[in-house]
Amino acid sequence: MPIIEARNLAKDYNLGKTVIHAVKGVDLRIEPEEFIALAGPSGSGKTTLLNLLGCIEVPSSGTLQMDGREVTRLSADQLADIRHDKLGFVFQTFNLIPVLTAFENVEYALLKRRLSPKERRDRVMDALEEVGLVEHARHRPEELSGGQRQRVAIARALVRQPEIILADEPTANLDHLTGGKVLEIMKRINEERKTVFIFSTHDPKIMEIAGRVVYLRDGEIVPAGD
Amino acid sequence: MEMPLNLRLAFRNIFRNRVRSAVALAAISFGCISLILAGGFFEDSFLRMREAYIHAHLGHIQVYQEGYLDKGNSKPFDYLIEDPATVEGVIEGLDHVKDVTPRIGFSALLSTGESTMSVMAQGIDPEGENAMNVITSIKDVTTSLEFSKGETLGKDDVFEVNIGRGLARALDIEVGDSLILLGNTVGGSFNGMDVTVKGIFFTASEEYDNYTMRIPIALARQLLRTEAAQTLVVLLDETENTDLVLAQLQDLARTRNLKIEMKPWYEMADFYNKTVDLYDRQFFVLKIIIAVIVILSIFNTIAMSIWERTKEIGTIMAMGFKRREIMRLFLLEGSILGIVGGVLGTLGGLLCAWLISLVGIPMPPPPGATVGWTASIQLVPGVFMTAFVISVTAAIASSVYPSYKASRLVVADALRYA
Ligand SMILES: Nc1ncnc2c1ncn2[C@@H]1O[C@H](COP(=O)(O)OP(=O)(O)OP(=O)(O)O)[C@@H](O)[C@H]1O
Ligand SMILES: [Mg+2]
Repeated sequence: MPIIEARNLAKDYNLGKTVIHAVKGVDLRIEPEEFIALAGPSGSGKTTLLNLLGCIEVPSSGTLQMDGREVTRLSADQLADIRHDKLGFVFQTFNLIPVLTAFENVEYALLKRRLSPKERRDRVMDALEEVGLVEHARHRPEELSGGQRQRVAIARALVRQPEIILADEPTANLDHLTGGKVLEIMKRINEERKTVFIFSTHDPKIMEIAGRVVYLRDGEIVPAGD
Repeated sequence: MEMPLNLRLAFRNIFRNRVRSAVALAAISFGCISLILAGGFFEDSFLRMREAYIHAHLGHIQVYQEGYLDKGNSKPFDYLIEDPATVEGVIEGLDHVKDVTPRIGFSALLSTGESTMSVMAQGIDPEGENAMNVITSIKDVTTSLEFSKGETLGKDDVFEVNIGRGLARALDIEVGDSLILLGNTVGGSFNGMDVTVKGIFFTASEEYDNYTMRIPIALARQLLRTEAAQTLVVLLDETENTDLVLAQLQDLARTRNLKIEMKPWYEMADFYNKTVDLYDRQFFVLKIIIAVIVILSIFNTIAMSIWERTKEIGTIMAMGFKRREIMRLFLLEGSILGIVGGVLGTLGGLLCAWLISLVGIPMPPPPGATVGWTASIQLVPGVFMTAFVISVTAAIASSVYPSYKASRLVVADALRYA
């Protein structure tokens, strides 16, 4: 069974006079353990599609199933529950909470989980260890480099052990080398933990690491071999 | 014990922008301090007024013969305490009772020979009454009964009397003048006495000073031909103990079958109650005004501090936090801001109240009174509580709308926010 199945998924933005069809009838199946890249030119709908798959945007039409469950018509709170239980997010701009330390930023993702203080600590440290940032646990985001920040963000997404991590251009704000390392970490987590990664990118080199690349153009998936 | 993460976050967010937070906290503390000072000032006026009435006129509790409260107005001499010494002894045995002094009041005619006026004559025990007039609970105030000329009655005075200032003015009386006091005896016949003016007094109540004269109770009893007392005025150590002693006294009256009834000061202090009521309403309006000012001055700050975190809100919403959880987060921040502001305001209020009381506020005579006074700020727990609660409420109220708006953000839009 696919972990995500989108059928004829579409998103329109109504700007008053004009309507923008950001995603137009996308069919997409994502299987467990996949490491998928969404590619395409700027404005092709990568972010919009990721947002739809990540349940942070509601489709205008079409259906979306997660683990076989229809999620298209769920309420805001039910969608929040799905995001909380199944999904993790990594953003192009890292989006760490500036007043919290690396440790606390990761801990924040566990705020709604009932865990003993020790268990919570252990899980946060595990996640930081996974991204190689144990020594930086007490640092605030402003004291970290871009690559380190993004690794904290990955730890934060990882700490809840989600089935899927969605990452919108996770390396776009990093130099090539750092971006490559971040991607390696993602790939390793995918292989070791079987966490599904769906990420968007402009970078052809990064696409090489991806298990599958889905090309978008004008809100549509470009058929393979095109 | 470490603070929970969401509290830590709320605290740090408050201090994220120091200048802005300092301004918001200043606004909240300022409101809190204003309320403490205004409330403490009102309380000071109440206290002075209350103590002046109690010590000059009412005592804390007045005790009468059973039936007096109902019918004493029309037939005052039918409801006299015939054996005041016994009842006095019983009351004096109670805790918190400082002084019990008998009175007998009656209307009489006071004549200078040239002119005559109807007056309220109050037969008093000079010793007991003088002790009662002493005020110890207020700084800078020593007595509730002051003399513009001459002096108060002493225990050896027989035909000496004290005259209220207004009354003395009306009859053109000076200290040392001889007057004729005319009245009815208890039996109904007519009686008269020659009296000498020993002093001219004034109290906090101009009305009282316009109609009243005080005479030794022995003289009153001679004039009325009775050994009874009309009222036993009970003075306590503290005004706060009134209800306690009242209850004990009522018990005692029942179990010992004393045939007495009683009234606490606050049921007699009509003018005081009306004044308190009026000031309470004014204070209520003031509370609303200050709350609104605080809300208006911090609303923008709170709204800004939330708007500029739009992306952060989008991020934690993406992490699965629900709308009401987002709202709770920001309301928590508002509460902490209010609590911190309230604590600072309380401390500031204490300091300001202390400083102002040290210097004193010169005041003109209040309505119905004749002397000005120096006001201070009373530190009343209730006022501090109110000020604190209003500070916190105002801060939370200012956060409600921005928090609500934040909780309604569309996740994807919030994430796109630069
Ligand atoms: N909230 C919105 N309101 C209106 N139009 C939007 C909105 N979000 C996206 N769009 C439009 O939808 C289209 C797809 O945008 P999207 O951000 O998904 O593209 P993208 O592939 O992620 O581009 P980029 O590579 O620049 O990030 C664009 O034309 C964009 O202008
Ligand atoms: Mg994009």
